Amino acid sequence: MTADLVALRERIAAIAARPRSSLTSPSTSGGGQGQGFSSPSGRGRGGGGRLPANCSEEATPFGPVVARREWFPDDGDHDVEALSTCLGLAPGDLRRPLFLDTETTGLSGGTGTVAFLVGLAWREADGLTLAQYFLRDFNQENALLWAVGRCVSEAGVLVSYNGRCFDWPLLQTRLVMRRAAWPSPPHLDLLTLARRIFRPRLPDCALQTIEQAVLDLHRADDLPGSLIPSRYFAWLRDGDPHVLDPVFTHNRQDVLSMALLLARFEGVLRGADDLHPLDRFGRARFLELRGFHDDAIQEYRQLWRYRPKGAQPVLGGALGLRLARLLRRQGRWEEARSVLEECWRTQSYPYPVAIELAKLLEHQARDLNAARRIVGDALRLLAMAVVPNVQWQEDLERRQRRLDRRLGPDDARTFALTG
Amino acid sequence: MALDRLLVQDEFRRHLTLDHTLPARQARYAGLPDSLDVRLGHALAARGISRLYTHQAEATSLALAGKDLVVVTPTASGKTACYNLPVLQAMLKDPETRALYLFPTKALAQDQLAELHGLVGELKVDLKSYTYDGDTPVSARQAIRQAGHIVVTNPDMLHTGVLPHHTRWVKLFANLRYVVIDELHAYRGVFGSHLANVLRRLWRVCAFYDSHPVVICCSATIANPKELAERLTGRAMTLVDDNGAPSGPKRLLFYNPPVVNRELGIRRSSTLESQRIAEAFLRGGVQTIVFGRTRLQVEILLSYLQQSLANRLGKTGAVRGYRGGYLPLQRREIEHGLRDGSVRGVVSTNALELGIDIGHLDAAVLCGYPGTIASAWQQIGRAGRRRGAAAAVYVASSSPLDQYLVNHPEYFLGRDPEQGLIDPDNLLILSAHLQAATFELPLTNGEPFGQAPVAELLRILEEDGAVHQAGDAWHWSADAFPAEGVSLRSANADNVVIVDVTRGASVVGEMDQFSAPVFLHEEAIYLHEGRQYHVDRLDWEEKKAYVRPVKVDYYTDANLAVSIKVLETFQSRPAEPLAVHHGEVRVTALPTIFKKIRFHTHENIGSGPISLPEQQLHTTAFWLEIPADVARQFPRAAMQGGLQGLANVITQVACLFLMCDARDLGAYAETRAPHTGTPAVFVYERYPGGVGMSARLFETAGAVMAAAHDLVSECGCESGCPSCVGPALEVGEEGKAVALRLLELAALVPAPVR
Repeated sequence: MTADLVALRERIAAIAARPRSSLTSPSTSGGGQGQGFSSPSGRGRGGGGRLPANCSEEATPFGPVVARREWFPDDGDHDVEALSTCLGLAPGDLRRPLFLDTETTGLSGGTGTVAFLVGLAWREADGLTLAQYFLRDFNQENALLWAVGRCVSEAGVLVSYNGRCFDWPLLQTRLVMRRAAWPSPPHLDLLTLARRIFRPRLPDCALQTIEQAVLDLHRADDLPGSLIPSRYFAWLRDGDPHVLDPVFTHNRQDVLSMALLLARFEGVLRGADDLHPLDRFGRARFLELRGFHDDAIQEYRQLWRYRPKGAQPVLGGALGLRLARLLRRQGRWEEARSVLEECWRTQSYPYPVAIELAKLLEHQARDLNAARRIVGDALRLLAMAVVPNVQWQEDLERRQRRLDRRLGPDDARTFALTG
Repeated sequence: MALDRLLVQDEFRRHLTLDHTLPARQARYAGLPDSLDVRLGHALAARGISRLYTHQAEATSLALAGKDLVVVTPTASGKTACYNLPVLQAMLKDPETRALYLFPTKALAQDQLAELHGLVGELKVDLKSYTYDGDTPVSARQAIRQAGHIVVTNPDMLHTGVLPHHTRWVKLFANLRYVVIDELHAYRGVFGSHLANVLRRLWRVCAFYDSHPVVICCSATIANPKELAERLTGRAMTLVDDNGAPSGPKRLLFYNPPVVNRELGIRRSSTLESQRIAEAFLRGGVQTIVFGRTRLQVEILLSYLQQSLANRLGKTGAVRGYRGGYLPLQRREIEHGLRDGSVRGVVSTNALELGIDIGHLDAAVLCGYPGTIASAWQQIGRAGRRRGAAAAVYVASSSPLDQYLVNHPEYFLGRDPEQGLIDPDNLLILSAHLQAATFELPLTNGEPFGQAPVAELLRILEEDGAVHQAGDAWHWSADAFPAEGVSLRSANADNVVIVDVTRGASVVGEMDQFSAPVFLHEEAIYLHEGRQYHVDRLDWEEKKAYVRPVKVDYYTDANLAVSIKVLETFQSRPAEPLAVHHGEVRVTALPTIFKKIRFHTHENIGSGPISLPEQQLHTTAFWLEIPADVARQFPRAAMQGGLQGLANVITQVACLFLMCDARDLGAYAETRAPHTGTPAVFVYERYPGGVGMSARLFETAGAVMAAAHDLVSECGCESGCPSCVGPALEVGEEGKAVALRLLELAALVPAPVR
């Protein structure tokens, strides 16, 4: 901080004594990757820098906006029946998706963060049109927002990946800053869907993780998101279009992946036969969450019945628990009980299973002795755990006390000893 | 009461320099303003209020007429009505109306909200008021942004949490009719200079949403409330200072502890004397607040009182400590205990001087002068509020300032000379906020931001890659959140966290980075809530101090080695016979050793080295230069002591004129200043770049020197004591004489030509 002030003052003095035109920035090769930035005369001020290949200017009521357009032929299978049913969206809307992804000048948000590249894609003429609107300089934002807004107003559903938390609020902020407004179409954030369905199998749900695991897409030399803001600033300073190429590529891939992912989700929801068991589990969880309980039970049952030996633990207890809870809700207690007892035998997720089973035995099967035995066994098991879970312990102890009360002390003791 | 029992003791009475009864003041009322909504009149009536004090009526009328104003009132004079009435009136008229209340601390915000809820409850309309600060749950924030009619927050939250996200607050900003700034006097120095810039940003954002709120400020008594309010807000203000609130009679006593060694000028410890007086009050059942100067003093007083009253009051919970660094929950509990009477006594730093509601206490004991007359009056105001007799006792320490005041009570009772000083154009502070402002809204070419060379600053920021010019405006162009790195309260954003290693690494408290080397060096004894902690390790990189509770019979005190370099001289008066200057300096401070000092006897029982990095401070300073021909009149050895004495006394007296804390200033004496080779005394500001105090010191140098001269010449000691130039051990046998002679010369310094 001290050094800053000295530097500040020295620099004010130095600058005041120097003609403006000779201002050059000594240390500005921010995103250089080695190639020298022999910037053209007149630097990048006022958006004078050269544009990446295939960019052109398009007219708007607010002046020109830079756009790069591409068209991709498409096979035409755009059924969205299962998705719209599950999500409660009008099929007509979901047939007119607008895929949207932004690249911004900062990752922490706030009014000083600007979307400098907005990638959009929509279905058109048996194919997919991709338009990337680029902010040549901050004072052209009105034109960019107008162009994007026109697409948004024609969209049936806005499709994004994490757009609900990031891109959309950021664009809303830009609209307030520019005193503009757009309509708000329904918004489908594919990240939410990905989390529901693929999370059990994957370490995280970053778009690129999903691409690799679900779409079998592998990006080469992708630019990490954290480096994107500095690329834009470097371009503003130096006007070298090559620093932007990887940004455009990154954005283009994000948007195209969303289109592929949407089709993939439709396929997943329609049928599960060729799916990885963990994805089937995720699918069933999603169906359950959306209220399609019969479909969910059917899927859970299949998985439960044919689960491979040595399958991931999640396909044991977690699956059994979910199945049993759904069955119990439908009054199918005997089925639920046999699932839970099998879980208990294999000791997978023992404590929640014991609690669930005890509930069933006590309240539905009315077999207090069996309930008391399970609770006692679970508590003894818990006593041996390295770090006993307090919540489970309290729940089990509460149950034990109640069961003891209902059974009478002698019975309880007998079972505790023989259990 | 207990005071009478004290007063019959000769031993006590003999050492009083003032026994003054502040007369009860009659209330002066005015009717409710005609323009006031009848519903508001009914709500007031339901709370037993049928008329207003004169200052409340005047403030309400002015605010309703759209005038920006500053109300000056003492503690507990009903100042909140001065802003709540116009604000509620506006909301009754137009339910979309919004208001923003700023309080310096979260605690105060909570307190005021409770009061506001009471009045709103009577109105039976759907007016929502919320606090919005670091403690507000994330889940509640969106509702507050949308629906809060009155948003109560603090400058820090406005700075990092609201302004950089103003688009989420469209409802608030588009309908903002009133901005209330309470406890205005708290915004001086660094904090005030920051707030002035936060307000510059606020006005820009308001203009963007086309709103022009009326500003209502409330201040404790200071010399320049109007000037401070105008400097802070950048607006012309109307002053309302005709206080109509009543108060009960109050006995004000000044007590100067007896001299125990005349030659050395040593008096009985003010800490022990304060403890004795407070103990007498507490034993007599008088609910008492004791104000200490420093955290250390508060902790010492607290442990003494808890020990001596342990049997009498049953449990130590009846006397509590209160200061910054305690956790919020602890504080709320203590405040509540004071209100319901379960806490009988509290020992506090100035943290309780602000308007936190702790009810009405019977007595206040001021252990040492709190640093400003405004603070002293606020602390005295804690004893007795509207009716009933109360007492306040000021116990002077042996510091020069205390001795000056205790011997010049007429100065204290006379017109308040203190000024709230800020420098909104401190380059370091301003440029930080200029960045935040650019982040919030692009800065148009030629748009002013304070008095700064905005264009040049923007060029620098452009070179750093922080801003970018497009068309006729400058835009923020960095992947960073500029408000985040700027703390409004101290030079350094990072506090040192204090961790108790014995209790599962729980956090005990925190301390700013500048104080930490002095209090949290390794082997230091750190005191918190009357408990002693030994600092096992200070991790300077990680800003963590690891401590464990101990019981020892000593405390620690650290020394700093300082050197100074003049970088630039702004102004000089090379007048006869001494020259004074104002300019920029670099101060280098290095903590060197610490001493272990035994409780009660205060003897030195050991010491050790401190190995912490050197701290550099680039700031502004005032300095006094002694020309070579004058210096030749004194022997070299005597000169050294004389300069040191001069530095000590000038710093103390300067605080009186600058309304600052002694900790805001540093002093340094040099027999051969590197830049001139002549003797010099420096008084520098501890905040990087300074906040205008050294400039004011330069302007008022003559008066400061004259007051310092009076203090030293009136002191009864022979050759220096802690109450004037410092003890003879420090300044030498001739130190006092030399300092006095230099002050005679310095006091001749003419007033500046402005």
